[in-house]
Amino acid sequence: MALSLAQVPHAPRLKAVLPNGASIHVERMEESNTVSVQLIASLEGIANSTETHGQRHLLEHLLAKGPGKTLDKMLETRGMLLTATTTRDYMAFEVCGPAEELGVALKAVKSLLTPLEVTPDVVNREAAIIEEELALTPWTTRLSSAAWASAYGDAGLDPLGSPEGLQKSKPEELVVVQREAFTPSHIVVAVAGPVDVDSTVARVREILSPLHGMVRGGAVERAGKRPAETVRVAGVDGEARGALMPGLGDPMALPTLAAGLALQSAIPDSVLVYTASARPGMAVLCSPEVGSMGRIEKLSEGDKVALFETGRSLVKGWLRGCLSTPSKAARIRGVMLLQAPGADVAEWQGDADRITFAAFCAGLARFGVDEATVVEGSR
Amino acid sequence: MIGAWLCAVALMQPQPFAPKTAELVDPNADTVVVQAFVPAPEMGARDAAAWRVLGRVLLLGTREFSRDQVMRYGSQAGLRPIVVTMPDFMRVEFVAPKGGLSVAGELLEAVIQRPILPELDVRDAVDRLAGSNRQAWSEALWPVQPSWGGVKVEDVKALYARAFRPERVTFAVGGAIRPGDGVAEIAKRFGSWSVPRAQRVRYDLPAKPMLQRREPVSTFELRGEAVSPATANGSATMLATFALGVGKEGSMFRVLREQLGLSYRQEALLWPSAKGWLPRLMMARRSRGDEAGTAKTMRDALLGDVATWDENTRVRALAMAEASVLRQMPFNPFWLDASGPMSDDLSDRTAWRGYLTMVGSGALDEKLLLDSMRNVTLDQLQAAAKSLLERANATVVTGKRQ
Repeated sequence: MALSLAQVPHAPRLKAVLPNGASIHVERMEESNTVSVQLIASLEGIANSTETHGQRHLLEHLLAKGPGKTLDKMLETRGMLLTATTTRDYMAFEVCGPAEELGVALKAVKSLLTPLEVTPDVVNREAAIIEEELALTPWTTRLSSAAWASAYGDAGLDPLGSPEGLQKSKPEELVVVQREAFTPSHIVVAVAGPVDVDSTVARVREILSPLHGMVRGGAVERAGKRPAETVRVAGVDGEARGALMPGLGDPMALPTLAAGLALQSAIPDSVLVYTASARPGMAVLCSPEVGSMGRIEKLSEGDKVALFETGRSLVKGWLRGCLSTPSKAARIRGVMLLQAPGADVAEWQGDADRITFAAFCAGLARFGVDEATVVEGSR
Repeated sequence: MIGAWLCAVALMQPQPFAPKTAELVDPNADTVVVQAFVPAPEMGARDAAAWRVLGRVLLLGTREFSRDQVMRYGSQAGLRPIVVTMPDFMRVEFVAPKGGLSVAGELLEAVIQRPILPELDVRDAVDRLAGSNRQAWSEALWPVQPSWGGVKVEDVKALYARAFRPERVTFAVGGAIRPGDGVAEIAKRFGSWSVPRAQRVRYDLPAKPMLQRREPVSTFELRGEAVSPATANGSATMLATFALGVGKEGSMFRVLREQLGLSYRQEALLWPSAKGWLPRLMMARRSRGDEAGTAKTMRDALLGDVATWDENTRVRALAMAEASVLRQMPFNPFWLDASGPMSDDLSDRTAWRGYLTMVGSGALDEKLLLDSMRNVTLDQLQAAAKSLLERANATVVTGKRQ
């Protein structure tokens, strides 16, 4: 039996925490014809440094092949797809496909929990592929990675990795990272789509209940600090302002995000880089043109009033987008269940309506030169 | 659910300049989308630059709305108004909350018929675009060098006048509307739109192809001819695109990445052009100085793989096509703009119908497209893939060596 089983009122969804600590979230989205099954493992509390930079990403690549490397063939022949991603906070695997293939999706997710068996050759080969991936890193990622690393140190290292860290990775180290990351108390399986909630929870429970693993300590809360100097990034054009973001659920999170989205709409070609998280982090506004961020300091009261309305609309749109498809809903629900079990994304719509002008201006100030991490690229 | 959507297409052409309008009624939607599709006229290198500038400045105010008003009134549903500028067509889009069809229609009318195209912004856009540093992948999607030098506001206005004409524009309306509402709104806004006679123009030379970039990434492309649902053999070519480059069991991922270790990113696109979808097989890798050899390796390796295809290949390709068309899976090769694959959101579902109406194959229901692919045999699939690979134009943009 689950230790806690909570029927969420007015929403056909259920979340459960099993005795071994593993969590389940199932949401019925009747309108959709797609089911998304996601296995999300928290990476919080797992040490990361320049020495191991990229190991998590490498592990994600290797696990996504599945044991025996037959997983993709099995899925794709049925019109299903496995994708994987690694962020600073978690590693996520998603199987999506037609609703009637829920059983196959669950079987695929179960196979991803198999202990990794790889040779050094396989690790090196995959590391080389990731180095190709690094070569394609977008300018926005390069600027925002610099902002994160400056403000958060090793806790802010980008999830992609570095050639040095990747080349040092050994199979036995990856096995340890897998064991740590997939400790039951730090994983969640989130399902969204036109599914029967009760029976799906039962099926997921069958997969997760037998798991056992080491007890892992909780995360040390990440604390960011604005660097005193402008951060310089060689080999890339543009500039960025990194605003320290509290975790979603904090009263200043949505006003800061609203400010970032409003500024993005006002500064040509700018891109706001933000990954939803209940942990402190960053929202980084990037522009390909050095000097364009100076507009933030020149905003008049009238400009701010106009941006306030736009920002509030855009943050509400962003929140709606978070729950708009099974894929997006399963991701945000799963991540929040890992990070802030009491949070309800749907309720944040109301919070967005209540953003005050003063809070919005405080959010704008976080992108200002006095509060933000300032990054400048150079060729 | 796609099956539940009511799809109606009205091609109102009884009178000259009656607007062509595709309509997608989705009773479950909480927004309304209005779009205009404008094909580019014939363009030389300078017009190719002016076309991009036009896309940048179109939303920056109209005779009746300031740029702030366009942005504020146009963002009430939480989505910004956008102009998608493609090499040979443009899409202008407003999204309004449910019940806001009239507001969205009014904004679209003002932007399409009476944009200001401010001179200062035109100059600013020319400077920005000329100096912009696009990523290797996005650069590869549009690998030409427009002639930025000397583009003036007069060029942009003249291009606008040639392109934005009642008989050239196609509209699409989707979302929380009743059947016929979209057609009526567009007819009300654009039915009496009239413009002066188009002036004759002298064309300069076409834009030069891009051959090199300063990023240390080289890109490789094999490009086929445009296909649409109305093209002979189009279904086999589209299915071959799926077999070659969609999913991790597709030939490109399996052979180029997993077997040969050539790249991290390789994929097939069905790229929207004003004539139909272009099959584009694309790959990016760090520059090494062996680009010519790599391009040959890419084509040869894929041709070799096609010869080994069996019935499972066809079944997988079809399953991927179904997933793309009916469920808009992440690696969907159907693109509607340069930002990425078609998604499941209302804007893209509406744009699918608007785009197909513009290219002249009608706002085909997705299921009909799939049915035509289901009839493709393994032999036809292999023949189409072989033909695509053998006849494709190869484009290589060489990156700077590190």
